[in-house]
Amino acid sequence: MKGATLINSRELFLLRRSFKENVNQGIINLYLTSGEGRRKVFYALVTDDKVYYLSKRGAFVQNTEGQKVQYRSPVFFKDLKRPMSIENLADVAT
Amino acid sequence: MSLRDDRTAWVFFLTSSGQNPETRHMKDIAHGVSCLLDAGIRKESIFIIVDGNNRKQINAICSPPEPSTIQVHTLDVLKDAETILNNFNSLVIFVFGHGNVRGIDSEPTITPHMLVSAIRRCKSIKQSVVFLAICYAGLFRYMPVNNDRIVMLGGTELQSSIATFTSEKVYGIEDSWIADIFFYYVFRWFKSPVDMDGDGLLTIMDCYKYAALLTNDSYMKVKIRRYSSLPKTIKKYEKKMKRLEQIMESCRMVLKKKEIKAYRDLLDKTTVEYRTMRLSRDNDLSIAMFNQQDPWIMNAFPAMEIEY
Repeated sequence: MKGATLINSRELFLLRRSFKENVNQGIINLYLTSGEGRRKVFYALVTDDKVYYLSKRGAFVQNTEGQKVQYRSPVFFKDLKRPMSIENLADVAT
Repeated sequence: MSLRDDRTAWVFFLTSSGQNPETRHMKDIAHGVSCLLDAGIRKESIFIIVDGNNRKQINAICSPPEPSTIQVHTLDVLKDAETILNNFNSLVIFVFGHGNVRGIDSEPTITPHMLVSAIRRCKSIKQSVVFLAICYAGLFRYMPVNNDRIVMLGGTELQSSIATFTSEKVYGIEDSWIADIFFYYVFRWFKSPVDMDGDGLLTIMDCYKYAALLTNDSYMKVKIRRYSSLPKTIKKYEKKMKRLEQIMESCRMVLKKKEIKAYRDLLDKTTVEYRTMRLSRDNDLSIAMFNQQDPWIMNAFPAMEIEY
């Protein structure tokens, strides 16, 4: 898998903001996809028990059976908040 | 017998009684492997064992990207564990995932006795260290291992383990997930070890002191932050979740009468949104309300001798 892709949240304007916030928090995962015959699929929204495919604008794509989709790189939204490293929490000098 | 020599097997172990493990646990594994590789541990000494059906996703998350890929094994590899470990004399196991009231969440549950017996069966292994990030890790604490060089460390006693949001470089790629705090610091120690007791040695006891101290300190900071914003947080979740519940209920009512694809899709989509929101709320609340983590170590004397 390649390095993370950072996009503006407006690019996926058909996807609700709460999904985007959860992606940036790491609760659910969004991947840029590649693969032959993937038609309208540009992204994969991956939860612990299901995978949802999204169009270029963030709409949920139905009828994705038979499509060979590969995850190319994780996606995060550059204009939404992301968590800071746990390391920044501790201020004990070791 | 330093752990850094080539005769130490580093095992990352994640099981689940469900169909697939949680993504955040797999990301904890990736972070751990990434730290060990950064520390110069050879990839041939690293064994990733993850239970679950979705092998494509498990491999994509747990293993480093090509060309440094490390094979992610299924539980079947355990049948050959004694043979594989013949080439090693030290064993370090990191146990990820969930705990239940009897041990490690798996099908069947792995009890403390089963774990210790499995380690003892590996005749070539002269010393072993087991790190547990599961809930109720304290179940593994009091075991008759005084005559063995089996050291165990847990992130928490007989209560839930705590994870919080983080962003880190994993395999060189910036990622965000809900990380187990204790394991986070265990892996940081292996990446950049610190001689905590000043005896001039880097031992598993130093690792314990470092990870336990920083876990408690970080957790206190997280708790203060979350607690202070708790009323606002609860209000925010209540409002959003109520709205989603209404949408789901409307969909269910329609679907009861007639199967309509658009409503089925909306129900699916809203259910995912609702579930992730509940997960996020539970994480916020458990961190704000929980007492504290209490990392522990068993068999402390060998731990002072086992060097990294």
